[in-house]
Amino acid sequence: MGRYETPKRAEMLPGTLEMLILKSLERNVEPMHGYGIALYLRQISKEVLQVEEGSLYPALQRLTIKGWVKAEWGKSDNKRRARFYKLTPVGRKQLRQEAADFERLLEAIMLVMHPA
Amino acid sequence: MLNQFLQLWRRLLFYLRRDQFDRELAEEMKFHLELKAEENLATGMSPQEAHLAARRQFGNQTLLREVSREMWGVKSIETLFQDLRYGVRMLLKQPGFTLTAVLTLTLGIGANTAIFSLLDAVLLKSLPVQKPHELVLFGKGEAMGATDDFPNRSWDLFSYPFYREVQQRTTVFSEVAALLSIHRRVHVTVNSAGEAEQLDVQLVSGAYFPVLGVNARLGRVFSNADDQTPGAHPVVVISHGWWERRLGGDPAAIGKTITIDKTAYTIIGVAPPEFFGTTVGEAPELWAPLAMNWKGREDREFQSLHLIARLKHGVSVQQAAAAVNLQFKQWLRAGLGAQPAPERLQDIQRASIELTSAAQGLSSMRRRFSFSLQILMVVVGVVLLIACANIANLLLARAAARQKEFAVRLALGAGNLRLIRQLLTESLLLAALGGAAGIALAWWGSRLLVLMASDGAEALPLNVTPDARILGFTLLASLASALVFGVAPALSAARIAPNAALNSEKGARQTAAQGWLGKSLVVAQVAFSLVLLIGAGLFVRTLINLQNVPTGFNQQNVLLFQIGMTTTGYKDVQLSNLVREVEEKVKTVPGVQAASFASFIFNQGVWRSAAYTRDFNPSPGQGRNIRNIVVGQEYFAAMEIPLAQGRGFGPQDTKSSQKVAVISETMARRFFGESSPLGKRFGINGPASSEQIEVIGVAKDAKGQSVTEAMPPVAYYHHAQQSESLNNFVVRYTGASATLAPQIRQAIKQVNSNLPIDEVVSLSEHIGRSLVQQRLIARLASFFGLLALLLACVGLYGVLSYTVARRTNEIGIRVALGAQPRGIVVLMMREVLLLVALGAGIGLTAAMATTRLVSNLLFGLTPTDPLTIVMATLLLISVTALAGYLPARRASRVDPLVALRND
Repeated sequence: MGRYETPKRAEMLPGTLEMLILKSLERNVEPMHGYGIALYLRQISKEVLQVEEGSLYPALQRLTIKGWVKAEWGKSDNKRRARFYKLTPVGRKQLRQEAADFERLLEAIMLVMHPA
Repeated sequence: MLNQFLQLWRRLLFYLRRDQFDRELAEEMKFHLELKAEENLATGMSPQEAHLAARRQFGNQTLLREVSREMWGVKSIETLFQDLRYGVRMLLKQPGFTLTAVLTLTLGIGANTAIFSLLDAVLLKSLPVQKPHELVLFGKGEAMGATDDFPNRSWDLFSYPFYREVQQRTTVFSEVAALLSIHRRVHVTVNSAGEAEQLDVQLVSGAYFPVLGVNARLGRVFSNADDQTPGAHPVVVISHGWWERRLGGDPAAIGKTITIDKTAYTIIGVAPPEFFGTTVGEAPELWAPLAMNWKGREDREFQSLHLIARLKHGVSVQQAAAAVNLQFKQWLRAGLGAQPAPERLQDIQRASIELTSAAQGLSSMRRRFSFSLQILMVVVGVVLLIACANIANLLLARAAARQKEFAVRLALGAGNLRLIRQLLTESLLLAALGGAAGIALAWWGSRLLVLMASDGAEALPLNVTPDARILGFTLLASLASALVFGVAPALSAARIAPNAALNSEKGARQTAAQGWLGKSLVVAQVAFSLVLLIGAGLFVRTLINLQNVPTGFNQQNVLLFQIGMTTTGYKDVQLSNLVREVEEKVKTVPGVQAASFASFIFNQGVWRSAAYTRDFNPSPGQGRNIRNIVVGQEYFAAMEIPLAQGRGFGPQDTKSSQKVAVISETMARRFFGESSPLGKRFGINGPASSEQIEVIGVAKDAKGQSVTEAMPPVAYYHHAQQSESLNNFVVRYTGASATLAPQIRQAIKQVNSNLPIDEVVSLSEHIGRSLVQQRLIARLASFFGLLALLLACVGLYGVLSYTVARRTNEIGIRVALGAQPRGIVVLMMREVLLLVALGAGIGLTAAMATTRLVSNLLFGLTPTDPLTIVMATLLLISVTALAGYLPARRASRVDPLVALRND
């Protein structure tokens, strides 16, 4: 296995995956499929955030139940059937809320880590 | 809130399409895997390696699928269906058990629902009118008033002049209506040639329908314009039921003329189908304007009206009451003139009007039945508890028998919670079946109850059709029962140690704890049954006491006819002559000893008035009120009320002769003291009338309203001298009444073939009708008491049979070692009697503490009547001992060989 070296995976803070998914969907105006979301998160985090499929799909369903994302079947770039997710208005509001909460939390952690 | 609802909706959609969802999830994962494999391929792997790596990285797909299903809540729904399916299978596997349990529950829940339906109809249901909560009633709606005495409490009945005063000068009500408190039965012919039909008419003021906000289904309702000039508004609104029944639902009925007691009326409207008036338990077929048939219109002291008003928007009941009371006192004061007696001024200070909610309408039924119904509600609640205890016991026994099954399931990895849930599901299933059947039983039972609560041959017009509230009640009762009887067995199942249960050879060992639980349930059942039995005994003995109360007249061998004398339209001499002719003609029928008309016989209302004599000053507690009854010549002979002094009425008492009266002993004592009242005088038309009526005789006391009342002061007048409606006709006879009644009927028809004879009933039955409430509660309490006893016996029998089955080995050994059958019976009976004695002890203590709550409903005995308690306890012990003896005897016949091989 040593041939395929991957950067050290970061432990995801609990509860942030949903926020990250929502953010990905917001940034990419077009609807995305699950693989696309995972890929996007990996790339934009410079290979640090490795989303496990075992958490990604349940998270997507959780978001669907809550009504924050909407799933639709469509054709992917390579003309195969795939399920695409897009942000709903409720989801957009939720994202803003969660982002604000998260930033506050992050600031607080930073204050602890780097006391003035 | 909305979002939560949408979530639920999405979950439900998901559940309905779960197979599609599974396919889609699989497709989504496949797509993901392919892309991943392509990615791996790009890094230089072989295709096979790339796929394997992708799969490895992806992780456990089945787990993923399960995780997402669980997230959607499918698992719990699936488990529920599994439990239900399994539950149904288990119930079907033991039809005997299931049937017993469902039947017991049906009885318990059905009885509760039926009594609740009646309670709902009498006490809780709002009138089918607009915004019923805005309606207030003046007083409490008690149809007892005095004509000119000031009652020392809140007033209930009012005069027409006061009604006009309130209606015209009120500042707190948007409108006020009056209705006559007197129940009127009239004779109605639709076509002038047709047979007269007896109907109830309610006389109401013009504002009646507008106050209630009830509009006509057809035509129009009254307005104030229909109630102006006495005798000038011959119009009626008819009930929807009568319109359909009698007029075939014909829209052309509007404008049609019907004859009510000789007067022609025009139908102007049909009331809506759900509208029965404002008195629960009565349903008049006709409404007519007060102005049409009511004499006390100008009389300030003729108080016979109920007043109903609608509060103005934003006015509270307290504000309205303050305004009304002020207005009332001012009005009373104005009626006394310039120089009132100080005594009267004090009376005015005492006068008050309490405003009560009219949302549920008026009801004499409510007053009579509400406490009884509440007691019965408690009784059936206890019966349901006993039923639940029975089912809990059955379930416990069954759970013991299923221990091996549970042990296997636990060993295979089922959680304790899962087992509990399974058992609770089965209990809920039983409760649901029992509840559904209970509603059906209640549907029938509540109608039977209404019939039992009715004092005539016809059922009271009460709406007991199950509505949302009743169905909700049944649902709650079923759920509560399931919890009560389901929890103990479920918890006991969860305590099983799989190892021990699987290793035990029979697999059906009952743990000590379960045996203890079952027995305490039996003790509780016995205790509850004893309380109910004692209660039933008290009510039955009350009824017997009431039936044996001396009324002052002889109820036996008297027929009571209701004759529609008012249909003749006769008055004064003409009426008096007709009365005498009928009396004389009937007297000629062989077997008739005496016959007489009377204005009131028993429990038909009273005509009360204040009596004045020259010297009499009433003591504070007594007042001057007397009852007035107008009778025929032979009334005292027909009723067998003996005369103590003087003479009865005779042919010499005519319209033109001196007005005379026979008075009761109580009246004689109260107004004339110890001296003989013969030849003394009194009057009933105010202080100035004290010389008008001469006393010619004194009759022994007799009751007229109820068997429990004190002997009332009564004055009897002759019909020739006092015009009054005389619809009651009593005939004393010898021989058989069955052959006599048609002959008397014929004799009456010979005098006047148009006289409608509405009802013939024996006097004793008529008196019995006044005890309908006591009879209802005595019958139902006995029924439910015996039902409780039966259930307790079934419970005891079940527990003991189970004990016998469990101890077969031991008994076998005992028999093998030489124990006699008698000894075995004694051994088993000791257990039975211990349980019964314990239960009876608790029951007795509970009965002592609770029966005094019903002391208001008892008559002639104390709540701890020793005879009743001893009888009930003896009955309980003997019946339960019998229930225990049967399994004990079976135990004594155990064949030791069979018993020992059995294991």
